Amino acid sequence: MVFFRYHSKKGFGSIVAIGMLALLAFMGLFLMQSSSAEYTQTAVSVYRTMGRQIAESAADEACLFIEEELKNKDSEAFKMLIEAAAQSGPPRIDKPSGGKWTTGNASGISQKFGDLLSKVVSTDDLLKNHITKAGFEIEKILPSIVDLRPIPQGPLDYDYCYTKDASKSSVYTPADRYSTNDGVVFPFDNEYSKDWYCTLQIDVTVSLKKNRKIKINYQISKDIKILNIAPIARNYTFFSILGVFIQNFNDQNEVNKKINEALNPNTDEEKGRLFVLNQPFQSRVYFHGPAVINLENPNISKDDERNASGAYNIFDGEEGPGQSMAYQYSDTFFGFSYFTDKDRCLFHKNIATSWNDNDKNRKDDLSAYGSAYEDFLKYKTRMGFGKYPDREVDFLEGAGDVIGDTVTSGWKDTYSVGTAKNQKFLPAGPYCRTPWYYVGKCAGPDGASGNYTPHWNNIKEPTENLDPDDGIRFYMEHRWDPSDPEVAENTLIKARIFPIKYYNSTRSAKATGNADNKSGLCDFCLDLYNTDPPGVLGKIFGSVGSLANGFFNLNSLPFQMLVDGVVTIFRKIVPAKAENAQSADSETVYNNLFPTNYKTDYLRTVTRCFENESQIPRDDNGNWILDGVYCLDYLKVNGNVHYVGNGTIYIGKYLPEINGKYGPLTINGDILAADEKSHLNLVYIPTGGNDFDFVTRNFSGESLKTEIRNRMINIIGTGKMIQASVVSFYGVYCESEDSNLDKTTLTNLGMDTTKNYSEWKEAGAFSKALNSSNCIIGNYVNYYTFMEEQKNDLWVYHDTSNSFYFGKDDAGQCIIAQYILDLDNNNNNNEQRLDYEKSTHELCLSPKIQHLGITGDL
Amino acid sequence: MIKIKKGFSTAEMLVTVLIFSLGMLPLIVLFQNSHKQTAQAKNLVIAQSIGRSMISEIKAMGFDVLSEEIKTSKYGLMHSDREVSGYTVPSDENSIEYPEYYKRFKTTVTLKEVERDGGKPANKIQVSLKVDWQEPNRKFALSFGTVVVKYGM
Repeated sequence: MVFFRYHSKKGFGSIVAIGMLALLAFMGLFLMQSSSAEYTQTAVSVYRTMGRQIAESAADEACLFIEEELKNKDSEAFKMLIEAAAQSGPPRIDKPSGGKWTTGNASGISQKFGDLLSKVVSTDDLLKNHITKAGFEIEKILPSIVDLRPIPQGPLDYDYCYTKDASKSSVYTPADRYSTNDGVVFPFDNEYSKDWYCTLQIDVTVSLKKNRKIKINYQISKDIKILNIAPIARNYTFFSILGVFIQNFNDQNEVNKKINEALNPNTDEEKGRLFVLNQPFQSRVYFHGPAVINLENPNISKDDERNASGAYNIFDGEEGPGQSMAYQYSDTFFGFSYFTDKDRCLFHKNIATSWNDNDKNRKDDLSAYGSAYEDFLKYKTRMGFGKYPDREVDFLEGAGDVIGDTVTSGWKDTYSVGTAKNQKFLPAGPYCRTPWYYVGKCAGPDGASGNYTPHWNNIKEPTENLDPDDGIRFYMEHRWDPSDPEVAENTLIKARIFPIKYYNSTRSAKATGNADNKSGLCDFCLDLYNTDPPGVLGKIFGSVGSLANGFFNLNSLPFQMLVDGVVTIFRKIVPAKAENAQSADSETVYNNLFPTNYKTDYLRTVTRCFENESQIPRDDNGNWILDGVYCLDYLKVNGNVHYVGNGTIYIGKYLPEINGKYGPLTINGDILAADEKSHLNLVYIPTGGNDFDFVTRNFSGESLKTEIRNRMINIIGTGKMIQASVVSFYGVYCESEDSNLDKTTLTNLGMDTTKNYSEWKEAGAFSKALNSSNCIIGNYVNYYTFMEEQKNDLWVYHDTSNSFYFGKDDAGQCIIAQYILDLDNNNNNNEQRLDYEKSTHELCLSPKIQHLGITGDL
Repeated sequence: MIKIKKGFSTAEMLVTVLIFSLGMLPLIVLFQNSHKQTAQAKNLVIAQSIGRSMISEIKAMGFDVLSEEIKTSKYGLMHSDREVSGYTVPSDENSIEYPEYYKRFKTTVTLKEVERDGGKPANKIQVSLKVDWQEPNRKFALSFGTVVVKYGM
């Protein structure tokens, strides 16, 4: 019994021991399994992280490849992108054909690129040679471009700004863009000229092939902007969007006072002038209001002055323009020049009621501008029938004839006239931005001589309005060379009174059924129809090469300057002297003020922001690298700088200068292109987003000069050159070390108006003048022109060396780019346009990730 | 009178302990392995963390800085078998200081500009990072890499 119990105890201990062992073994195995699983999970987590890094790396490489492809302007992909973008539209605007605009369809580009596996060689190299253990593999990389739409620009979003539409226009489209064949206008820009944004999306699939099957789908997207960097108002050497600043339109006396102050300052300061050098036959000049521009009428000139001041001299036997074709900048009474000379444009008394006024209250596009602009846009232009004046009929006799004549059928030309209720010769009223052309009876096929009968009931005696002094005229000088019949014909400015087909107002003019409606010029550009046949320039100016060498032999010019031709000397603008406002109907809202490639909001196009000039990227030679739109807090350029690439430098605010920081945009040096392919838009619009308002004068008429100057681009020094399309809200202030060149000095330098250009060239007149002045090479755009604040002379050269402004024809002659673009209209295609817009558009890819998404075995 | 023994005899105890010990031996190995794997997993996570943050920092420096580093070694980015210690941002004592434990990790960073056709300036830099550490009886290494590109060229 006892023995049995003894054995019984022994067996139990073994069982317990084995049981404990088994339990421990189980726990150990469980722990082992758990640890193994933990390690595995950790490893997988690690691999996922690595997978994301690999995917991101591959996506970056893919984006870089696509960016390179799309930045290559000769690539098919870039062309496809521009074409797709041109077919897109703003989401909230109806298409002309009905329905809303959609995004541009860029799927063709995605298909063209296909799988980009072969393009991510560096990442692939990492996987093969460095990150080898896990067995990563990139399965596919698929790009796509989505959300392609125009960058919103307020009223410029509407399709009628870019496409043919006879009824509307929000961009400035001169009347000579009207086609009598199909009755449509051709804006300078079209749907290919916008700025666009889109998203580049890359879908990457990374898998882990060893041990465990893991697949990660990685989606990365980045922003793209496609920006039009073409010059602002490329067809214009000078474009003043709003002319002269006026604060209060409702007070006639104040308006007159302001105009007088603005244009005729009573200070002892030197009066700077604006010299505008156009390319003959091609460059345009636009100045908004406050008056019309008349040709000095040779019919009334003294015999010995006709050749010098006459616009179109009918007394010289050849009936050609005089040496100086002078456009006087003046004011009007109901479209009637306040000048007392008898030969001015005359209007029929029925003019105010002879046309329809269907557009009277069109204000919808103005909402984007707010109240700041409304005052500038609430007037309109009207048109009616008029007659040529005749030198054989004196003023009063002619006026009586017009008053008494009620039959308009025999009148051959139409004229524009301002009809604002309070017509105060306002600088910004659209009614007055119609230039006038006077040509003697020989100029037009219809003659229309004699029988002018002024319509007027409140004309002042001629003696009350004196012709302005010679020093305060607006000159446009044109050289007519009658020595060769061909040259004579082609250098002749066929200036005449054209109908002005502003469509917001002139559709009614069309409605009058005047069969003699003619294509015309709405600004005082030279006659665009007067094309330059090959060789004519050479006959006038000598060879182009010698022209360049002779005129622009400055060492600091990095390019071959070919500009020559018409010289506009913007000395002073005639002050307004009209006393009486006239009653008339209220005017139509009229907002087609903006030139080509205008932006209502530059901030939307900005690609990079910098504090100042020191942060602008530079190449190894110290040149600015331009690519896209740079927004700077302030810009001060001390010393000379060159730039490469295409871009815009935009300064959109002003802060008072503190310890050398901030202050107005100031340039004390040259800013020049390093090569002929580079282009800069320099934009200074210190409005919005800061404490500035638009007012620069108090209501007592006192000029707040410091404030104005802060809003102007300040060019300090002498002989400084800025090669750019310069856009400045309040214009340019020049502070030269030397005094301005007076007429005598200019003559002594070789700019003798009695001599021809060849003689100017031989004298090196321009070079000498530039040594004492500052200049813009490109073009000059402002909102307001404060001539009294400019202080010293400024020269503006339309830059014929840059293909954004000018190209070359088959004969190698300089030809304005717009001519080339317009060939498409004749050929019914977009080939020329597409080539041009490809060259002027810059694609900018944001390096930042816009959106990141990961799916798969996470 | 036979004296009845209670409990285990010495021999029994010895046998039991022997059996138990023999049974425990593989279990100890199991526990040891488990502990090792846990430690390895912990080190792997740390290595991953180091690698991830270093790659992110290097990427954030951008192409131009890395290109300059390749030419001048100005920033001391490229290195070999450097101990992970000190402050995460060496010049900033307010930044996080690596724990003592991290000293067992060593990093190696190489940068390489990728050549382009036609003699164009490089626009890609290949970044390789290796994080090494020593386990009790084995060396571990984790490799990372990325490509830093320069847009707009």
